[in-house]
Amino acid sequence: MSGWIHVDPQRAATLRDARVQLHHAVQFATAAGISYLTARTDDSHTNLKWMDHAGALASNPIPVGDGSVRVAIRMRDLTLLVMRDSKTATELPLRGRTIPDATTWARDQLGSAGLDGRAYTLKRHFEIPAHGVADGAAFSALEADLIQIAAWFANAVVALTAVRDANPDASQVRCWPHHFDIAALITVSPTASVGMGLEPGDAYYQEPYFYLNAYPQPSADRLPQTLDGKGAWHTHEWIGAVLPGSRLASDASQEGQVNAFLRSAVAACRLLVAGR
Amino acid sequence: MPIHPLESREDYDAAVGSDRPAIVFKHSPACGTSFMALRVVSAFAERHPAVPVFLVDVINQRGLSDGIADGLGIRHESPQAIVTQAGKAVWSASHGSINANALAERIASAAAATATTPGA
Repeated sequence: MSGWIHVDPQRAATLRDARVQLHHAVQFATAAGISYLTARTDDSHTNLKWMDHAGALASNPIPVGDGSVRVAIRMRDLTLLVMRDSKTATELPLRGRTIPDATTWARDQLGSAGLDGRAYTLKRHFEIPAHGVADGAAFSALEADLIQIAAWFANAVVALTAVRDANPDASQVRCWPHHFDIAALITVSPTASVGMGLEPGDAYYQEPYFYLNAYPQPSADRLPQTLDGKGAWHTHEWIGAVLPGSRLASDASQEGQVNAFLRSAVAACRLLVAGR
Repeated sequence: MPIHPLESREDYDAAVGSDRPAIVFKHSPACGTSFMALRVVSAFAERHPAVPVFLVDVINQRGLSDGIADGLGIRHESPQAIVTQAGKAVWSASHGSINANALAERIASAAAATATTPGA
């Protein structure tokens, strides 16, 4: 059993509000990395790991005593978690609550867990898309939309992990809180690499989409004619292979389609950067 | 390609010596975040074809990358975008702080400063 969860491609382009609210919510998890971990030059102290058993994006572990603490967001119901040794210790549903409400709660819980709660800060070094929740509105995302986005992330981890297993030069799969993409990097050679991931939506595609970007950047006139799984080449302002969510089949062939796209796009990108 | 790779100190000196503001983007091919920043800079370059945009690969041109940091007095980071003018850094940003609006604003203010400088 792969763990693939059926998603509704017809709804892919209707998830924007829930996606942006989740983007703001996962900053609670990122804040734990910023507040308590040593900053790394690659910013990886801010990234998030998908915890499949909890359906949550979680901070890197913060050592406390003999164990660790993580802050996480359970995506399907927009709930803030404080985890001890990767298990949920306490939780706060965010819908109906504001960012200041949740910050106060998080500081209290982190203090109880043995950390200095006063050190927990939501200050960050990057901007994310605007939403009323950042100006004091309560979280209000629709549960049906949250369930869809959670499924997209869970599926992305399944698909990207399969690619990683087939490509020993690929990194771990992690969510990056600035763009909110969940991604891995294939180091093809010291001079070439391929970034691949799922972006849940942005200015280019207002829906979840799988992508691959190659470096050195290929020329648009060198791209192969076709990609499997209904993928296509994106050439507006940046060049990459993409599979927008709305192009997924509605039936049980979704996982095979995504895997076919990723396999063909990885092979194409490897060829594009080979020998450069 | 609207982004011009820099491969030598001579390339770099020629690129940033002008009074015309330019962008130097330091990219790490070993960093996923840098890929997304490269998207931002690529999009900026497409939208602003009159602005010279240059790329330095911080792994494969490490010496050049370090030399730029030393020469400009800017702490090395990657990804990093540096707005240069007349051989000096007038602004820099790293990681998620690299965004199209910030780049456009800094380029515009650098160009305006040149335009209002007597004798410029």
